[in-house]
Amino acid sequence: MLAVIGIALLAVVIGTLIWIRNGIKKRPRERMWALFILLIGTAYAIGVQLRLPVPNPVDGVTFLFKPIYTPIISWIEEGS
Amino acid sequence: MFGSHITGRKKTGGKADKRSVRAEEHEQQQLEGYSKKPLSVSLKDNQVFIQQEMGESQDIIFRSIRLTDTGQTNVLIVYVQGMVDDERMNKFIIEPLHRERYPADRELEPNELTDKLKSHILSIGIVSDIKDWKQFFQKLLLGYSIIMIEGTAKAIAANVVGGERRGIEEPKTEMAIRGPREGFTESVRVNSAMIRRKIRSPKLWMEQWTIGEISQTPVCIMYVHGLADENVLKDLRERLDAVKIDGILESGYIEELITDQKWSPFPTIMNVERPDAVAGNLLEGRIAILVDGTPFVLIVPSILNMFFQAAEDYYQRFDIATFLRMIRFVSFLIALLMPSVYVAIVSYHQEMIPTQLLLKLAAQREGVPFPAYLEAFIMEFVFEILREAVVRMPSAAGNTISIVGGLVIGQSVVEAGIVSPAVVIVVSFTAIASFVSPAYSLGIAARLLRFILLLAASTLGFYGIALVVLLLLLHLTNIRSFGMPYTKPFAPLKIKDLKDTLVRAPLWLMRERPQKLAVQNPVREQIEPEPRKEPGQ
Amino acid sequence: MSKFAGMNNTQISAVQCAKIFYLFALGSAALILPSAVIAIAKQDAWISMLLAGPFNYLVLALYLSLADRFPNMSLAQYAEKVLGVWAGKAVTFTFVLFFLLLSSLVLRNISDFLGLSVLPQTPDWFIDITFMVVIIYGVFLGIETIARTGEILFAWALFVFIIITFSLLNQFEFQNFEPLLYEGIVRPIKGVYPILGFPIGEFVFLTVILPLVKKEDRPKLRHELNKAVILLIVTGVLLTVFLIGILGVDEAARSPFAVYDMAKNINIEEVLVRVEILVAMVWIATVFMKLVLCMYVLSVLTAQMLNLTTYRPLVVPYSFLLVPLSMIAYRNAAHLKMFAMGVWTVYSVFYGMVLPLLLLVIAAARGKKDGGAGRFPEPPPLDKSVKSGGSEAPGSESLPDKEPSST
Repeated sequence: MLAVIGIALLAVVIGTLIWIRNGIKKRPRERMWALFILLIGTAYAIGVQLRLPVPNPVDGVTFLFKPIYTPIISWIEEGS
Repeated sequence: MFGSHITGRKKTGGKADKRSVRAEEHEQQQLEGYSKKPLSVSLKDNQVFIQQEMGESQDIIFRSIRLTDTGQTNVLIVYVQGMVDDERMNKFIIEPLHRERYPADRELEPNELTDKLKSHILSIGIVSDIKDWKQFFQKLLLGYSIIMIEGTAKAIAANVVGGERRGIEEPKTEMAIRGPREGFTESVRVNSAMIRRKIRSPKLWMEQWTIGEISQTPVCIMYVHGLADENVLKDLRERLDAVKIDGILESGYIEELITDQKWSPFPTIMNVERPDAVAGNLLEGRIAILVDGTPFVLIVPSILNMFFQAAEDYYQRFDIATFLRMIRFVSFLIALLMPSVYVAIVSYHQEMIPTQLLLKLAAQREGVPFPAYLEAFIMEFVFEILREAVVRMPSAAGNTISIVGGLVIGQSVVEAGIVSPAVVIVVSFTAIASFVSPAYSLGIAARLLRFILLLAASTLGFYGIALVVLLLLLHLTNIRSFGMPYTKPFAPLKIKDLKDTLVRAPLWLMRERPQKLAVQNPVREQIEPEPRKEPGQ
Repeated sequence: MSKFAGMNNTQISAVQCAKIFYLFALGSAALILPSAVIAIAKQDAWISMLLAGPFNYLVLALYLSLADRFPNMSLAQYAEKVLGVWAGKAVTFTFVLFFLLLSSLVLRNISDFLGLSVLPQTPDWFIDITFMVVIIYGVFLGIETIARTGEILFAWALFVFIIITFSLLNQFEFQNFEPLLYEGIVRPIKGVYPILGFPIGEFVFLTVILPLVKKEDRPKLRHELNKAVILLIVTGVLLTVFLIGILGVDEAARSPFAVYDMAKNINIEEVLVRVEILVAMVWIATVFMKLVLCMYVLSVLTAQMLNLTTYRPLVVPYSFLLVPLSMIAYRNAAHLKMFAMGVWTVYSVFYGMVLPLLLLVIAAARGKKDGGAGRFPEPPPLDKSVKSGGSEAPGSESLPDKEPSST
C-alpha cells in the first residue's frame, strides 16, 4: 500500500514538473503526450504493485509469433 | 563585508527593493559625479567640486602653483597620496613648473599654456587630456596626477603611478623545481609586461576593459593574433561586455561571471600565477585575462587536460615529465575514488581483499562503533576542517595545528577505538593525493565529488560508484569551455593530440598545434630536427 | 549564453557511431548470449559466432542503403515517405512498442545481473530506479554526449577485455573443444539462431542514429562500421572460445551470466583474485550504452511519430513505464530463457530485417516509379522543416533547455 502511494506521489511530482516546464515554454502538445505516457506508466506501476493482472507484452509477443517460432524451436531443440 | 558590493549588479528594473542603499546613492553619483560634465574654468570651483565629491578625504592633495608674479596664471595639481610616485612627481612635474616663471607681460593664454605644458614642460612619458569629470576621477584614482589650469576647462593627466606595491616574487601557489621564479603581481601593467617579455612578438595583442561600476577595475585580455580563435575572442568580448557588477576584486569574480558552466564543480577557466605558464598557453592559441589587483591570470578556453599539465613538464626531460603526468592523473583518481572504494570493498565486497589483509582489517574493526562509511565520512570531514583551519591560521600557530591534527587527533582517535587505522590511512593518503594536482581548481572538484561518491559507495557499493562515475563521465563529455569540448582530446578522440596529455612527447615530435585551437596556423614553428646524433654513431 | 556552449548536439563522427554500435552489440548480449549458444551448439558454439558474422554485414548493408536513400531522415520519417503518413506512423508505432519492450528487457537483464551477483540484498526496483536516473541524464544530454562517453567506455571495455583474456590464459583447456563438429555443421548452424535476434535484429536502432552522423564523415561510415563488425565478431568468438575453454561446455551452458562466472576464475598469484567486479563494471558500461541508446531511439521515434519538436519531455514518463514493465516481463528464469532464446529472435528479426527490407523494397519500387532516379536526394527545404521537426531538433532543442540563462 505504501508503495502505491509512493508511486502515485512520485508521478504527481514529475507530472507537475512537466506541466510547469512545458507551460513556460509553451509546448502543449509535448506536455499532453508526456503526461499521457506518464499516466500509463503510473497505472502500470500501480497495477504491478497491487499484483493486478496487467497485460504482459512478453506474453503478447509470444502469442503473436507462436506459429513461427514453434517449429524453429523444435528443430533446434531436437537432439540436444 | 564583501558581499555588499554585489547587490548593485545587473540593473534590472523593478527590483529596487532588493538593492542596498549604497547602490541607490551610487546610482545618483553615476548621474552627477561621473557624468560627462566638463570641468569648470575656475580652479576654485573645481577644487570645491572635487572636495565635495570625495568628501574632503584627507589623502587627496591639492598643490597650487603660481606661474606669474602677479598671481594670474595658476596651476592646480591634484593627486592621491600613496598612489603616486612622489619622487617622480616632484622632479618632473612640480620642479619644472616651478621653473616656469612668466613676467606679467608674458602671460600665456590658458590653452597655450596647456599645450606648452604638454609638449615642453612635463617630463612625463604618458600624458593625456581630461575633458570631463568621468575621465578625471578615473585617472585620478588610477594614480595619475591631474594638472588643471585656471581659465580652461581642459586638464592634463600625467602618469606618475607609483606607491608601495608588492614586488615580483616567487608564486606561492605554483612551485616549480625548475623554471623561472617570477610570479605575477597585483598590477595589470607589470603582469602584461612580464608576459610580453616571454613573447616578444608584435602579434601579441591586448585589449582593455574597465569593469566594475564602483571599483573601475582595469581588465585586459592578451592573445597572439593569428593563433587565437576569432570566434572565441568574439565570444569572450561579448561576455566581458555583459558583466555588470559593483566591483571586481579578483579574477575569480570575472571567472564566475563569464564561465560556461555555472553549476558544474569542474572548472572551465583556468587560473595561473606564472607568466611562463600563461605564455605557453598563449602560444597554443588560448587567451589570457588579466585583472588588476590580483596575480591570478585567467586562461580561456580551458579543458580538462590542461589542469593536469604543469609548466615545468616542458622544462624537464620528456620521460620524467611523462611519468609525473601519469602520477598526477592517478593521484586525481585516487583523491576522488579512494575513500569510496575503501568503503565499498569493506562494506559490500569483502571477497575482493586477499585473505590475510582481510583478517587484519577485520581485527582492526573489532570494537569500532561506527560502520565503515560513517568512519570515512567523519574522518574526511575532520580533515576538511583541519585543512581550512591551517589556511587561516597565522603561520606561528600553523605548525601547532598540524601537530595537533596529525598526532593528537589521528593517533588518539585510533587508540580510542573510535576509528580504525585503515580509515586514517585512507583519508590521509587521499589528502596527499589531492595536493598533487597542479591546478587548485580541479582539486576542489575532487574534494566535493568525493563526498558524493562516498554516499554512493555506502549505499550501493561498487555499483553505486560505477553509477556516479557514469554520471560524471556524461557530465564531463557534455561540458564545453568557450565552445571547446571539455574532454578533448580523449573524446572526441584525436590520436594526434594525445601526445601532450598523459604523456609528454618529446618536443621534436610535437609538430602540430592542438587542433581547433590554432586554426589559422596548425603547424608549430619549431620543427626542430631530431636531436643531433653523437659524432661517430 | 553564447552560441558556442553546447551547440550541436546532433552531430557525431563516423568513428563514434561505430564505437557506440560496438558497445550496443555487446550490450547485454555478451553477458547472456554465449551460454544460450553453447547450450545449443555445445563446444562448436564459436563456429556459430563465426557463421553469424555475415548476418551482421547483411543487416548493416540494409540500413546503410536505406540511409543512402534518405540521408537525413530517420526510420520514422522515411516510413512515412514510403508508405504514406498514416501507414508510416502505424509502422513507427509498432517500432516504438518494439523498443519499449527491448528497453524493459535490457533493464531487466542488468537488474537481474546486479541483483544476483553484486547486490543480492537490494530490492530490484531500487537498482532499476538508480540505473534509470543515470540513463535519463544521458538521454537528456543528447547523442553527442552519449557518443563521446561511448568513446571513453569503449577504451575502458577493450582494456578490461585484454586484461581478462591474458589473465585467463593459464587456465585454458583445449580438451573442452573436443569433439569438434561431431554432428556435422548442423549444430553450429542451429546455434546461429539466438544470435540473429540478440543482438543482430536489434541493430535497427541504427536507422535512427545514422542520419545524425556528420555529413563529411558519411563516406567513412561504411568503413568504420565494418571495422566495428570485425571487432565484434572477434570479440564474440574470443569470448565464446574462452568460455568453453575455461568453464567447459556444461558449466558455460548452465550459468546465467557465463562471462562473469568465468571472470571469477581469475587468479594471479593468489593476490589478484575475485576481480570480476571489474568485468561487472564493463557490463554496466555496455548495458548502459545499449539502454541509453534504446531509450534515446524510443523517445526520438515517438517524438517524430507524434510530430513533436523535442523528445525530452517523453523521457521521464517512459522510464516510469519501463521500470514496472521490466519487473513483470519475465516470471522466472526459465521463462526468460525460453523467451529470450526462442521467441525474441523472431520478433526482433521481424523488426530488424523484415520490416526494413520491406521498406527498402517499396522505396525502390515507388522511387523508380516516382522520381525515375530511384533515390531521394538531399531533402529540399520542405523536407528540411519536417526533418528539423523530427530528427534534428530533438538534439538541438537541448540548447535552450539545458543551459542556464546568461547574465
